Order: sequence, then structure tokens, then C-alpha cells
Amino acid sequence: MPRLSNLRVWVRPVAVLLLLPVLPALAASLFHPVSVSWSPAKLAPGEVTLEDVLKWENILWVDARSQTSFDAGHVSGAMRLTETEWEAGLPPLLDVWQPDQKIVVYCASISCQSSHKVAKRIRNEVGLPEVYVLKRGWEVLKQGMVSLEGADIP
Amino acid sequence: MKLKKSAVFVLRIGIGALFLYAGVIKAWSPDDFLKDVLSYQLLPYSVAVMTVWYLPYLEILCGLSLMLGRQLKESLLVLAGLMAVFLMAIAISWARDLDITCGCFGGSGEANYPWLIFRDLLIGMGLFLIWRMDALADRNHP
Repeated sequence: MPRLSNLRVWVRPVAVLLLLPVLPALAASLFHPVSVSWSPAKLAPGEVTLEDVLKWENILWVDARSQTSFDAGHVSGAMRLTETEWEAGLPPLLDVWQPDQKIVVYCASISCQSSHKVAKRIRNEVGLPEVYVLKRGWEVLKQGMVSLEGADIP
Repeated sequence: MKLKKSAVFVLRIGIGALFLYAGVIKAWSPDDFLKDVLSYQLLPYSVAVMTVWYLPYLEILCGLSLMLGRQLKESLLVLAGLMAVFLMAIAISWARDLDITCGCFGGSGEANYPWLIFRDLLIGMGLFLIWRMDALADRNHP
């Protein structure tokens, strides 16, 4: 067997191995029954943009991020609710929620999933009708279009 | 000697099956895997989509190679590289206190960072052991 340090011997077979999955990957990207968008612009079901939310009047903000992130900065009056602290976080949220309020859940950015999970649980387990996920979450909120509070908020 | 051979065989089948399973489950639901990849916040969207289509088939191929004992060394090298990348991604996400879903074996709940790192190190160690024992076998029976 050639030594590992003899790189030239390894480059070709490793490159072949790395190239082999390209064909099935291409085929899957074309024919897989589950399609994946190549552009992140589309809104997922239940998602809203900050532009939409700014038009609404009665909103209850729900922060689905970690305690550290919440303490550093959050939307003024937001309630914190995460999947791991669901039992502790849900009752206070239901105490302040009013029937005519829309709930908007946010997490850190476009790629975090906790806001979707929390929103889904509020819809399915609590049965509240108007629960939305803010697209891009804190990433867009920190630009200051809504009132913020927290340790890192000037 | 026989014991060593059996140990290599068991490790090969075990780790190979693990990667085969990981690849199949990702290939099955590319949309879920995309969410997991994006949650690491390391790749631009288009690169994440390419990863979602490519990585599962690489894992399937390497898993099969390991199980069948074909192109063994090359597969071990590729998988070791993958484990190094996964470990770095997990460590970076931990340092950034990100809310990731590992995506390693399909999406699941919030990531338990120490466990993920421990598990990946364990798999890496398994790969290294296969390499070492296979090299020893080669030396004894060239």
C-alpha cells in the first residue's frame, strides 16, 4: 500500500471517488419528487416579511432564541418561548395573549428553524389561528424598524 | 490475527452502514436537509443547495465502499475529511451559540453540542482504526 504522505498516488483515486456522486446528485436535482428552490426569495408557508408585519396593529412578538440572545436584545414586550422550555414559557405567553392579536415568532436569522417549530406547536397544540413566522428573524429586526430592548440595544 | 480481521470487518460494516443510512435519509428529504445545512449559517444559499444534492450520494458511496471493502483507503480518506469538516462546522456553531439542527441523520431537535462532537470523534477514531488495522494486514500479507 502506498504511504499516505505520497500525495500524488492518492489524488487521482480520491478525486474519482469525489466525482462519482456528481451524476446521481445531478439526476436527483432534476428528478427528485421533492423539489428544492435554488433561490431563497420565496416565503415558506406561514412566513411573513417585516414589511407585512409593520402594517399590522395588534401583534404579540414571540422570541424563539436562546436566553443569552434574548437578554442581549429583543423586540420590546416580546415573550420568550422555545421548544426546550415549552412548559415554562407557554403559560405566561397565554396570559398576555389577547384573542384579536396576531402572533409573530422570530428566531436568529433566515436559516434558524426554532421559529417554525415554535409557531407550528402554537398552531397545532394550543390551537391559536393567527401565528406567523418572521422571515429572516432577528437579522431584520435588529435594523431597528421596531422598538427593541436588551443589554446590547443602545 | 483472526480477531483483528473480525474487528476490522465489524467496524467496516458498522461505520459503513452508518454513513449509508445517513446518506439515504438525507437524499430522501432534501428540503429538510437544506434547512439543517442553512441552520449552520456557514454557506451561501446556492452552495447549501449544491451540498444538499451532492453530500448524501457521497456518503452513500463511501458507506457502500466501506461495507464492501472496495476502494477502502480512498473512502476512509474522504470520510475522514468529511468528519473533520463536520466537526469544524459543529464547533463553529457552538462558539456562535447557534440554534442548529445537526442534520447528520436527518433533522431532529436542538443540537446537543458536546454529544455531537463526542460522536463525530468516535466515528473518526473508528475510521482511523480501520485504516491502521487494514495497513497492518497489508504489511503481514502483501
